[in-house]
Amino acid sequence: MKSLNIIVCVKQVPSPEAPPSVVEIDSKELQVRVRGLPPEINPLDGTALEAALQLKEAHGGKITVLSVGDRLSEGVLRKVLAAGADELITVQGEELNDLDSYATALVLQRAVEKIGKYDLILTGKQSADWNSEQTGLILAELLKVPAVNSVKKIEILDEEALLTTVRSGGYDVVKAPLPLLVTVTSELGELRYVPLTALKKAREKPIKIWKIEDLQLDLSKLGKRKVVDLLKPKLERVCTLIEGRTPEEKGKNLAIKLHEALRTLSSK
Amino acid sequence: MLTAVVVFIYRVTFLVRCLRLGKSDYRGGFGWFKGIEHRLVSLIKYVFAQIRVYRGDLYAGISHSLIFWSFVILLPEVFESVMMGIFPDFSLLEYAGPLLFYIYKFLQDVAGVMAIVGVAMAIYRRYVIHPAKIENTREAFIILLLISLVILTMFSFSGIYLSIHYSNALIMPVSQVIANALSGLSLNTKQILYQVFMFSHNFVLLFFFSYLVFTRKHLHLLTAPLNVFLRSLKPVGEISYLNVDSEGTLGAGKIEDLSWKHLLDLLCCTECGRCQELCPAHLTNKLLNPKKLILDLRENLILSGKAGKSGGPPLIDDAPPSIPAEAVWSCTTCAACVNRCPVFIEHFPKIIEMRRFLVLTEGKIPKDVIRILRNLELFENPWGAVEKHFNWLTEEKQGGDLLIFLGCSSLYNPRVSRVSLTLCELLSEAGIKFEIYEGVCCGDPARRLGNEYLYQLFARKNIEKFNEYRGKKIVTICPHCYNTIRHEYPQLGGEYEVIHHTELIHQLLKSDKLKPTKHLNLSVTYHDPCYLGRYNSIFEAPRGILASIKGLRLIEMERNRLNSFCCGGGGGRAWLEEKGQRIYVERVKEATALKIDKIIVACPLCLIMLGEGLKEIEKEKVEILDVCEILRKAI
Repeated sequence: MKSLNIIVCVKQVPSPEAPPSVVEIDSKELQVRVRGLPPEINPLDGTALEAALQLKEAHGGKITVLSVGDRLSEGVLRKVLAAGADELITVQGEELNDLDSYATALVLQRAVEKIGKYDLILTGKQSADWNSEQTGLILAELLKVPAVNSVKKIEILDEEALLTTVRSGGYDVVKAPLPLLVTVTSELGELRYVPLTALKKAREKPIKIWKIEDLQLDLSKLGKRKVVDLLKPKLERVCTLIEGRTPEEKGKNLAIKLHEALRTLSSK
Repeated sequence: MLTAVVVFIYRVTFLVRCLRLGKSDYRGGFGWFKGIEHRLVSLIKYVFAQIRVYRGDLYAGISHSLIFWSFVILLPEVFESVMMGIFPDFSLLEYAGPLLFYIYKFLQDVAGVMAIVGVAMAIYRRYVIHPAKIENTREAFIILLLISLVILTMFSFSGIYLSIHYSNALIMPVSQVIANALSGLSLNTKQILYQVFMFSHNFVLLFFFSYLVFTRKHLHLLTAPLNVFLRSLKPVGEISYLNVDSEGTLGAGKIEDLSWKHLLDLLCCTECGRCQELCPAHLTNKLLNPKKLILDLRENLILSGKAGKSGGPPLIDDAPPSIPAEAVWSCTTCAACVNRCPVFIEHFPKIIEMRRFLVLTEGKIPKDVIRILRNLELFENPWGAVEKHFNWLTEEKQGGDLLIFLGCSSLYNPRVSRVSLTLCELLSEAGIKFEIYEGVCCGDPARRLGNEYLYQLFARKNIEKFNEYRGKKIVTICPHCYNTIRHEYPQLGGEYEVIHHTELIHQLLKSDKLKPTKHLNLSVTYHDPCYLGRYNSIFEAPRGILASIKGLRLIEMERNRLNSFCCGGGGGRAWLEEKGQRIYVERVKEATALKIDKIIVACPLCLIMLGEGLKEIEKEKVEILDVCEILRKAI
């Protein structure tokens, strides 16, 4: 079996583990801010990298990680090199802020073409911030390669891949020729723990930074995500004591209350 | 004779080469000279007086001491006998003078009898009682046989000597019996027998000494006194500093990543099994057994010694002589093993070194450990919590010379935050002013889970803050924070006076600033937290507080004070899933068997763990309280 050239697309997102109390919604600026927690690599993109690392361990090859965005944190992204990726390429610039899925895919397409040869592109099924599930599939369309989405298992045969995909109520096994784009689900497993010694070694590895000019992109073609409104859902808590003489009666009354509450909710 | 010496030196050279695989240590060079007075006292207490050999096993202690002392007494006899083999006219009489010589000859017979009694006791213990903690190896049998032969040949040698040179030497009662039995023989026969007995005695002696260096367990005759002398004089709660910026491997992944002193530990294990008797992991059938840990590492060392630098087996792997990762993660760092070891082996510090390797160098760690480390990284506490539960109106209580350090449990665990609030109430009650510092995690879980980098990050943050409060005494309700701040922050330049809340409250009671008035008609038991008791010898302050409450009856568990049984929450394990038989369940079973109303603790982690245990055995009627909470009820 031949060795693989893998490109992994990762997105930097606000920490998805941030509890509601530190998430601030700026309704005027229409922005979400997380207080006190650094941004992270989108967890599913981390899964994609883990899948790539395992494929590399099995078949050999090269892993290039590609990330597009504005204000990308070197500290956050360098983790992919520490985890075992061979190369990190970022496309950075103010104009890349708040791109919609199609525009992001466009930038990625140009970057992938600039990288050149590849057998497999891996990315997360969706990002933890906007959850659009679009970018990966659009990228495949733009590159004119087949795409398989929601994949939980990847096997590489000679010139093709055997993919197990998550479907509601079961799974599909799909065979697809290389080169190929695959979006992965969490079933594939989290990105491995990155030890300190690896992080230290990764400090010396170079990061390639490309600008929008390097990709000869028409800026006017890049659509922006338009946020109309941004609100934090109101959380209301009402405490009602359920009356009743015996525990059985209390239980019965609770059931009635729940039933009524459900009816009023659905009628709204 | 020459063969014995050559063989002895050959093997000792090999053992030294094994030790030289290890890294340097603070005792290197003349480092051991610092605190020499403590080292000499250790020799007297733990080698000559054998204090730790008696602890928890009186029978074995007596048996061992009889043999040990007889051998100490017999050293001049050994010397004399070997010298007589070389120079037939040699006699100690010439050098010692008659008085000393005859006293010694009497003692020699006494020592012989002591050894025989000791060996008989040992044989009875090994082959009749056969306690679970010891294994009957062939080596142990050979050694007992050799000791018996040494003594028997000694008696026959001195018997024949007496029968040739003295008519009746009452000074050596046992040897005289043999002399009498031989008295009928002709002088010529006696002369031949003399040569035969002397040769056999010397042969057995030389064989014994050269065999020793090839044994596993009995090498301790030579190494144990050295290990006791070189023992760590640092508090057991102080884990060694690791420079996380240093190049190469962090932690121990190979035997040579451990210090030479850790390796010497391995060569002096007596296989006595005292370390496993209180080990919470072993007693709940986990993969970890401190004795097996040391024995496996010893085999690893010897193989590595033969293979030369970095040629040995890895430290962490599934099969012996490597340690399975699961065992490495099972340790609660309760220090019962270290505390009981008669030859001062440091078991769990080796485990910490291995965890450091897994976390900092290799990155192969179980999922639940990753989760805790992630919580620490992101939220600066192992709970992964943001919502603080502690709420005290601080505005009124500025000033004073006390600084209450609130660690992660006080801030983020609702149950524990109530303990800290109770402490604040008690202090206000006593009219004591204090300030509160809501810290980041003290670093104990990160450090004990092997992430030295995170630990140092947290410690430095807290040290910076403590320096702003310079001059204040730090109060903490958590023995883990207490231990870390007191013993470990000094490594990073933070030296502070720290006091555990039980000590503080005990002082306030003694100075009548707090007066419990109410009568509490309750039976309670007190659980000694490892990090408070075994680690920091605070046994009496919490008991003193309980004794001040009228009507309260303290019923001790069988395993208390130094022998306290861990709750399972130390070493970062409070936040990890425990598989199989639960340590905390075992402890609450022991407590509730005493038919008590309440379990009293003095540690947030014990509070949480044992609280879980009570739920699991459905004895929630038994309440679990911190010492200060029960005192609050009495005021």
